[in-house]
Amino acid sequence: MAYYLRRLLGVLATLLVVSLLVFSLLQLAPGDPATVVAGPDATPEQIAAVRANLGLDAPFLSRYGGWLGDALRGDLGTSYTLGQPVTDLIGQRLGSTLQLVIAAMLLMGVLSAAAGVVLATGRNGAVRAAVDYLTTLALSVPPFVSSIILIFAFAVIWQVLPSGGEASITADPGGALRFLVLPALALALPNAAVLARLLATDMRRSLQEEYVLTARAKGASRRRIVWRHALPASLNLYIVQLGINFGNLIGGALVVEAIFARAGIGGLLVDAVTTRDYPTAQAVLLLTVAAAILAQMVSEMVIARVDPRVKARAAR
Amino acid sequence: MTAPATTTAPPLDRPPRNRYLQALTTAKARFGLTLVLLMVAIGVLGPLLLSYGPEQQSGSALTAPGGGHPLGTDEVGRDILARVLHGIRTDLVITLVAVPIAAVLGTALGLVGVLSRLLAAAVQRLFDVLLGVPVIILGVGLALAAGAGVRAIIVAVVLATLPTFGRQAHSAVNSQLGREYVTAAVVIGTPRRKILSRHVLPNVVDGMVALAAVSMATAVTIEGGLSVMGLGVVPPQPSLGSMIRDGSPYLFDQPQYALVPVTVVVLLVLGYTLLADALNAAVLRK
Repeated sequence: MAYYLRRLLGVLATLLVVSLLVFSLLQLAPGDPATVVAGPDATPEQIAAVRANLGLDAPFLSRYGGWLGDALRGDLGTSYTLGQPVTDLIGQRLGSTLQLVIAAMLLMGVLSAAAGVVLATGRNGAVRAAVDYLTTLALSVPPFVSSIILIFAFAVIWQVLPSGGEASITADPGGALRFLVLPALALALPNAAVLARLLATDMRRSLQEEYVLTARAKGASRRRIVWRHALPASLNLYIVQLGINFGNLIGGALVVEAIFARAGIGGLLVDAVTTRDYPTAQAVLLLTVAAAILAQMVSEMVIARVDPRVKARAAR
Repeated sequence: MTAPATTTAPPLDRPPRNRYLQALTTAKARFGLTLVLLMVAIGVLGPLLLSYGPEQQSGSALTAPGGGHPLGTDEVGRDILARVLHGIRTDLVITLVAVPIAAVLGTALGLVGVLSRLLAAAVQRLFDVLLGVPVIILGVGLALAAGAGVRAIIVAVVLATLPTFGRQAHSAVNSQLGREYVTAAVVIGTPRRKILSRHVLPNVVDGMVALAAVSMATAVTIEGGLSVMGLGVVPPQPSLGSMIRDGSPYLFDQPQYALVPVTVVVLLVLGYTLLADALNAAVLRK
């Protein structure tokens, strides 16, 4: 219990630091947000009125406290440019991003397991070498590049999948999936390559363990040993990596959304940054960073639950 | 002819002449080095051979390759080849400014653990925070605070890669300070400064070289990601990422527009990755 409590406190401290950093971005930014809200033709008096109205003339720490308190109560402010509550704006777009991230995570799991097993146990040298080169290549292909390659192959040359856009997952699930395949694959590929390599190393070690020898002695088939014994033993690695990579998946999703013209929180963030809509930009930044940090914490706690060695190591 | 002809391998205890050169003996490593050098040469020398500037409108919009424009022209009539070559330059500048700063700053921060445990703990917390923030989000935050552009990208690359250098330096110091030879050096009265420079620093540098190659790949990825979102390099300056963003709407009619910068990114990052793998393996082998 002490372990979980300590982790939780550490994460809360990190989140507090991050929220302070995100809030001070506005402080660092050139120019005055009040001039953005008041519009280009505003008189100095109007700008001053807007500044007072937005509470911008209060001291920094009291504004930060107010913002954080509101954020904790679920109020992320009102967009400067769209005039709507930021929570509504995020709510309208979060689903699209979540679909992309979840689909990418599923693809990542399947692809990395397949590639990892081949790398660790493949007996056909040519196939193993091919997979090895493909994973190295996938490692070198950031999501914004894999997106373009996939669009060119599947939308331009073969014309089997759409090059961008999206459909509602509730009204048209089949169509939504068709729109989802390429961006999810683009996002999953580089992450799957990293995971496949780690998995291969981990499985090679597992296959040396005595329980594998026991299984073999009891007459278990090679396939059973790989899929039922060695692969599940690497589950820890999966959970840890998923936690660490969740942030990169979100970051990558924002980039991929831009290329595939998906209406997720990435587009909201880009618009907010370019139009200096600080409340919206800060809210999206805070949410994504918090999600990344929390995912990491959850994965570590899950591991600690299933693997007592983790807690023992942390206690030392 | 007095040399003994029977020994083919050097004695095991003799340190290899240069580990970094030795790392480059594998086929993968040479391929990686070739790719990187090729891209650097193209980026540095290529623009000198061109008749158009990257921001010069030198033809009509979106013409097909040929007629003085080997890769055609973009949507406002600029030479695509010129923009790609200058785009490579932009990425090289970002990489070559950001990665050395990150390496030196990160390593220095990692080494403060030698001075005080409290300071070291504080620095590690800072690294935790930096590593907890996804790199693209970090870049967007900086674009918001400092305005999008090369400067914001450089700061993002520094902040994103600095913790890895710091952690590496920190663990290299810790792993060496516990060794018996260091204890022995302390016992015979070797000054602390000399122990650090003679025994600890070489180990720190070993890890730095491989990490630098990884960080260069990260730099290209961050520039590309931010520019594709429209929060990176500011138009009309070209970069690899902004070329991909500008070219992607024309994949159907002018595929070379986006595919050439895409190919450059793949080759460049592949080169860095292969080099990093080889250097890592060489450092581990010693």
